[in-house]
Amino acid sequence: MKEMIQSAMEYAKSLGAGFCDLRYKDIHIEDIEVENSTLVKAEKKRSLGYGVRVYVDGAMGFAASSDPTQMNTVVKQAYEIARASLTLLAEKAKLDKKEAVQATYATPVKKCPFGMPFEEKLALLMECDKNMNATEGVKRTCSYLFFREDDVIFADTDGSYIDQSFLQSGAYIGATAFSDEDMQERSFIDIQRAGYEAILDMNLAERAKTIGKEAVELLKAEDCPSGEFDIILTPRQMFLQIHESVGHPTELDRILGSEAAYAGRSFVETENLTSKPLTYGSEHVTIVADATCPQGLGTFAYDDEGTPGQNVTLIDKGKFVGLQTSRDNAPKIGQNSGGAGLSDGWRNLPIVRMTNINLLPGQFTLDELISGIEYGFIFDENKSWSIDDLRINFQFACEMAREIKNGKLTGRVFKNPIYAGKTTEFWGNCDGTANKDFWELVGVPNCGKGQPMQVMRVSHGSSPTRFRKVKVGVSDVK
Amino acid sequence: MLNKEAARSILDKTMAQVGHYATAVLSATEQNTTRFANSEISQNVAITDMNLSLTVYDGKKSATCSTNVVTDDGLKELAKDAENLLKYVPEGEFEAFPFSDEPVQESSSDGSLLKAFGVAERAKFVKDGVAFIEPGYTAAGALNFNRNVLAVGDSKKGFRYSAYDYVNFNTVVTHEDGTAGGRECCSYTAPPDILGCFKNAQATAKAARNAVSPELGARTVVLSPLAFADLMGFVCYMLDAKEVEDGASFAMGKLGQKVFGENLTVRDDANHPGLRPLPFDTEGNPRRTLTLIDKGVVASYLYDNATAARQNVKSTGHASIWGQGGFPANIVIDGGGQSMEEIIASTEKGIYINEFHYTNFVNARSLQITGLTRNGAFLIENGKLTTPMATVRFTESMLDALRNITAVSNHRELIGTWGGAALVPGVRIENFHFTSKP
Repeated sequence: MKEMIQSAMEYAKSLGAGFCDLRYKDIHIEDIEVENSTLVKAEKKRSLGYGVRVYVDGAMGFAASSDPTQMNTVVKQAYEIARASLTLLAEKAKLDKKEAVQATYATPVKKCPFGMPFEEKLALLMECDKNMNATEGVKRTCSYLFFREDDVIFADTDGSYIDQSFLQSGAYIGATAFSDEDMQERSFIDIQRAGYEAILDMNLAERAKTIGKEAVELLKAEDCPSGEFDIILTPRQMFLQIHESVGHPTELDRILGSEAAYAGRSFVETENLTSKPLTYGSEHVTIVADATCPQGLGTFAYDDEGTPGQNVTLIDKGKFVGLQTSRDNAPKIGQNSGGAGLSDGWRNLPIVRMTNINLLPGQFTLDELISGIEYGFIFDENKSWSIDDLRINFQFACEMAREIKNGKLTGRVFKNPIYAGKTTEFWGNCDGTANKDFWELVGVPNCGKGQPMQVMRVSHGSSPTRFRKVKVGVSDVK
Repeated sequence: MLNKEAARSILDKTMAQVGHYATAVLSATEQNTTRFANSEISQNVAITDMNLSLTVYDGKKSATCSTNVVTDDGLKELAKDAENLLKYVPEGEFEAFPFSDEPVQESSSDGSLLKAFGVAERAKFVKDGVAFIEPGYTAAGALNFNRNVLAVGDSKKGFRYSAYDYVNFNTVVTHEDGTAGGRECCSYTAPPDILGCFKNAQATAKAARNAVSPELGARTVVLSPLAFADLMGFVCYMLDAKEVEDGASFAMGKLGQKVFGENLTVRDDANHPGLRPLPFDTEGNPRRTLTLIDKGVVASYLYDNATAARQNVKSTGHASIWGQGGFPANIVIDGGGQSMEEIIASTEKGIYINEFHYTNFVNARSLQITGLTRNGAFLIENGKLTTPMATVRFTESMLDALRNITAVSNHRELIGTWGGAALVPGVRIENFHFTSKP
């Protein structure tokens, strides 16, 4: 394969390409799903192919194919597409300078899930199913395991050749209780770049017992009150809060307008790094884009442009200080790529994607955060999300709210908690995050961006975090 | 593109490798997208791929494997993997369902879109469209031309094949001050009016400048077909029989009951001229024309084989690649008696909404949806569009909103949806709740 790929790079040069790179990916996936005590899916998938990006006179073309025997034809196709792009080119694209790299990398794995007996994996799901159904009133249960291995080769005309292997292991368990009037669900999902040991660490069977109980408890609960309250978000909601209101707005391609017609733009401006300083949050808010974070879905040695994985600080004690960048847009702000040029599989072009966007832990314990709330809630596990195209106004809903009164949890729960806010105001009202003992990395399976749509998996780490004066609910808007 | 003979050959070769009864779904795509931003071509891509999904059965046991490596060796490996997996799985709920032998009208592309939307033609469309953009504004968007093949078959020589082409386009024109106008179009047949979209988006962006911040609370809204299609997608997806089974749908226990207003009738109709010409589903069943909502009454659910068997009914032919249940891919909503202009003219006070952004369920069971306005919203005062309105968020139950439709336009537009397209009118809705704003 190496010979074929390097030959394709030479062919691109012979056509007159200014630059060419190629991502060859062989992806294996295994899905096992149990629903209501019955196996409903036992599936293995393979997707193999490569994508070629060619620059001609500063214009870009990209072609991808599942047929490795046609590599030179696909290089030629990408070249011709780049030439067509010259039809409407205002400014020649300029990639940042990068060293040629020869390297290999593999996700550290203790127990490869693909080599394990199918029966063992199924038995775990059946145990989860049984434990969720142990609570009377649970009407539907669903559990699944998913594993994905990406063998990735990156090569370019500058002489790089990088061979990486990534392994993901993930699980979902969910219980539903419903009546003629309502339906409530409790669930848990996580995915990590790790082996089956990550699944074992998730403690799924024990979690399943609680999930079943809480689904039934929620169906009997009252709706969460509307008004202005102090709240604590658990890491299983914080991941989404970080993703939507920090991750996406700090992607340089959005800021420069590349996503204006689809995913949207950003309230952040490039000048916020220089002449117009931006206070993004309170002093408790330090957020990084860390491609080196163990077990993160955005963890790698090199991104899909051959740039090394990095740990980039985006917000430092509330001050906005950095952006997520890739090779084609970093030079527009006088920088080199921050290593966020990633593509969804082999079919798509690398664009700026989140790596692992993490809120660094603070100094508090969870009890200390709770003790500082006279009346409020802990919101847990995301179930709905929406944010405007500049990433200012968000509204999220969670599965469960736990009531806090006079600095203590009362044991009462509410269903359908919703909260809304404005990004910098909300982060500005963050007055504490819990310490590293409470810090959790949560995998997100479905981050959509780009045309054609690319669906990426990213991770976000955080501890339970407290926010003051949050608008909760919508029922008071008449 | 993969022709009928080549598709049949791949399925035959695959079936020759399996020792059990098997079904297969073969899809092939050529996706060509010319994307532009800041009034220049920014990304220009062509993607060719194929996927073959093979399911083997042994009584109530089944195992599925899929691959895009369709060489002889790749097909052998696929069959071997599926047969091997079958050894370890326990029994599921059903045996294999019989492969339908009911005749369907196979579709094929006439190649007219292919001629109109090659890579050079797409670049020219974008260049010509950007020429309409005025100083101080920039255009972004994507012109996408797809070729698609779907073939399904079984090891008893059952076989169906369909091919179709599809073009869709969207553009957003943005002023330096950030205000924007947008427009989109799509077609399975004749080229749509792409340059018209550029002109329309430019005009909307110009009219949208100096927007005012809206008041929150209940308002009368007039929704464009694009905005209404966004909301109706959520309603139609929840008519999936699996969602109903799972207790997730508003329609649970509501079959035959009047849930919405008299002026709402919705069908799923794969045979409707201009909609996606795919006459069978991924299980090989003919796609039946279904009335989903009949004058406000929940008239039917969407079934695949498994959900139909559980309900002791026949599949409606709406299985999809996205898993269990039925999926609406050809939504047709009845038009009304007024033009969009007449609806606006008969609205004393309200808000016209061109497009929504980031709509999502807040609560699927109550059909409560949230989202924001985008790319053009205007106050309606005394029957005229007046002041442009800044972005605002709504949170509204469609169970309420679709009882409060007071006008439906006779003008309908074909709107691209997730997995298909919808023919949708514009509407006026009373008492629509705006709940927060940036």
